[in-house]
Amino acid sequence: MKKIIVVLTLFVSFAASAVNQAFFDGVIIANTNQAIGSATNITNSITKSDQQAAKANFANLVRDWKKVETTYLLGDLNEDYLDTPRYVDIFHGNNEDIKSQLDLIIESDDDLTYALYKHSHKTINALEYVLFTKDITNPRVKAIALIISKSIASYLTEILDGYHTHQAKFLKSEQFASAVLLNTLVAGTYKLKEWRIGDVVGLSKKYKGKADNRRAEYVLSGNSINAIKAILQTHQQVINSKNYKDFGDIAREYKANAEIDTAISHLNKSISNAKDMVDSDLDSAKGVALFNATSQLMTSYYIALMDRLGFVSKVLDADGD
Amino acid sequence: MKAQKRFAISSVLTIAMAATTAQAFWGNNEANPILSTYADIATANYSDALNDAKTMQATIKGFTDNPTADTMSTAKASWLMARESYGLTEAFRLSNGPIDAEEGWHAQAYGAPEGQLNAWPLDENMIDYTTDAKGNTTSGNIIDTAGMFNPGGENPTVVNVSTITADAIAALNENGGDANVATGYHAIEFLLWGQDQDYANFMKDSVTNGALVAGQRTVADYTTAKNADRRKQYLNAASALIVSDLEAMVAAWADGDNTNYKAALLGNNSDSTKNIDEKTALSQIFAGLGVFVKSELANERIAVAVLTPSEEDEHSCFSDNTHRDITTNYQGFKNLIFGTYNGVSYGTAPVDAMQDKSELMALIKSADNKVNQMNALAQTSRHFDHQIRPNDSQAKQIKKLKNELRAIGDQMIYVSRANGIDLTVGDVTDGEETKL
Repeated sequence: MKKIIVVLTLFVSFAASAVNQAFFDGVIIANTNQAIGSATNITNSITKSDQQAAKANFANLVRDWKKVETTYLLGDLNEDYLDTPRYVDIFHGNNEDIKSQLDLIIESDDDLTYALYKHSHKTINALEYVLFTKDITNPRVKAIALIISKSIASYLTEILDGYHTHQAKFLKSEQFASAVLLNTLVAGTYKLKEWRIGDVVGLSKKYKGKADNRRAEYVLSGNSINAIKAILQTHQQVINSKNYKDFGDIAREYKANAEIDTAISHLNKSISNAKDMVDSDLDSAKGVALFNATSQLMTSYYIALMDRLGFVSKVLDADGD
Repeated sequence: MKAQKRFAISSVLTIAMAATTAQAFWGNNEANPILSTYADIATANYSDALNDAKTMQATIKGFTDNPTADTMSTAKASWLMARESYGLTEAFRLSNGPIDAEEGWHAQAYGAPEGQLNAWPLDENMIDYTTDAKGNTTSGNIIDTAGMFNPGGENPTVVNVSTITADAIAALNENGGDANVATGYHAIEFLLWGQDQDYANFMKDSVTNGALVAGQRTVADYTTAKNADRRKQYLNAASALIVSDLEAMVAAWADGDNTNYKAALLGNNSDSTKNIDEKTALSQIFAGLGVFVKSELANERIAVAVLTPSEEDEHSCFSDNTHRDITTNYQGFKNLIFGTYNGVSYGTAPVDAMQDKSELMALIKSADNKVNQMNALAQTSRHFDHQIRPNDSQAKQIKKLKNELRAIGDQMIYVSRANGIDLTVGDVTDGEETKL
């Protein structure tokens, strides 16, 4: 697996007037609420055994969860929430073969409360497998799908409650808020270009020259580009929104105009490249172009922008097992 | 099959061991007091670990000579005792020392035996029978193959196990892959306790049911059962290897030998090319301590088990001694940063130079409480494998312990800085730790 560690050290001289309540409510809280709504919708579809609706709602859940994940900083506000995302999503974070495990669970007659004891069995990845390869009119499959969708909704609600409870830490310290936000953007951009695009198109360090569409994040449902678009849209919410003071505005206050303009340019290019793509395009020239644009976006964040704003950054990545 | 949890030393700190001509002669210079304290604790700790291993070897011999419930119980007790002192030594890992150095003269001289001593998690199915996920008894293992054994995996080498010797199991260890563990404490643990895990579903716990029940191998496996004599051979071979490996560690850290690793660490090796630059030594030790507590203990030994959750990923999954593994590993770390061993000060400690220890001490106090709680419950209420169940209130506490231990690992940056060594978060984190 690939491992990334982003380390940020903030120079004492940096004292930005950080993102404010409008940003917090308009991005962090609003995106989480939207994801909860999508999880609820998918639960309703499953309850009605409406597989087509459930599949359509799954696309919305992917979109909205990726937005929550892209700016997930609750673990920085309270360490009790450090691990919450891995209860929702195990992409690149788990070596388990959940497909065969879920098959065994479906075939067995074990009480599902115990059979689905692993957190990975109740993730969005497990839900994709069940919805797109199984028949939810089967009572046991339906019961499993419901347990998963309700678990996701529960964790999203936990995240929302956590943000409300611990938002003061984000809002009261401008330096802290800026640091964790930029940290989240940088780490997320690495995963975007390396895992979600590079591994598929054969441009990541791990899979150089070995393109394979089966490595796409949502290969079963064809929602991989949907996820990538959602991630890029969230970056736009963070650095280039007209609705509230965002991170781009702060960068300009600290005379990082050229650097933030460059970042926005690479972000817009990435969004433009992804706009008309479908999952099967990842293993093509379109995928290469998207990889290059997101690589430039990451570089603009973690080298130019960080440096200009007075952060010291260090990004490590290594091939693991 | 699980990948063995063993790390390379942080690439950021892959600093060549440098000779210092000024320290070429025995006793010409005063050794750095922190290094002296560290080295003296190593001398004492490895000596204790060896003595306990020898006791374990003797009781295992006694058990295999006369297998009864009593002698089996004595052998188990000696294994548990041996784990206490060995667990403390694990804090010496990941610091380019003799236990696991990947290169250098000392890697050759002492054999870097960590993987042979304490590899885990192991594929116990390779050693002896188990009950698989479908309730069937497995076969095709080292015990029941009286001839040439193929361990399987990637590019395996066939080994003659007509007689199970130390050489044979050493040749099989990690032969074909990291999970093919044939030697060390955990191989003995499996041969004494047997399977505890229900591979089908650890929540059902149908193999050895009960929150305070570990593996239940019977004495019959060593008396009337098929291959009883081969199990005896295996136990004696494995314990002999542990003793010989720890003898090498004791030699590496022995006093009064100006050719060994301890002399080199303190700049007193008679071969000046072997002496380690003081700053390099301190960097490797501080970073190693950080990586050990943060990536190995907190991440591999706690986080993987509790966040999956997975009984297979608890450290001593046959004996349910994981709470003691965590406790001794943590205590070993504390020994080295506070310069103490068995409650006795061994001299200048890394934390002595810190102007402000408040954050570190607060983290340690909180982690101490959680470790104590985990131990108390493991002895009276439920073992670690039940404490990590998702519906158990302890799971949340163990996750908090994991977070605190990772924060303590990061504190090594400040411990290090107080002693004139600059480290980063990357230096105290293994880049290849399991991503969760």
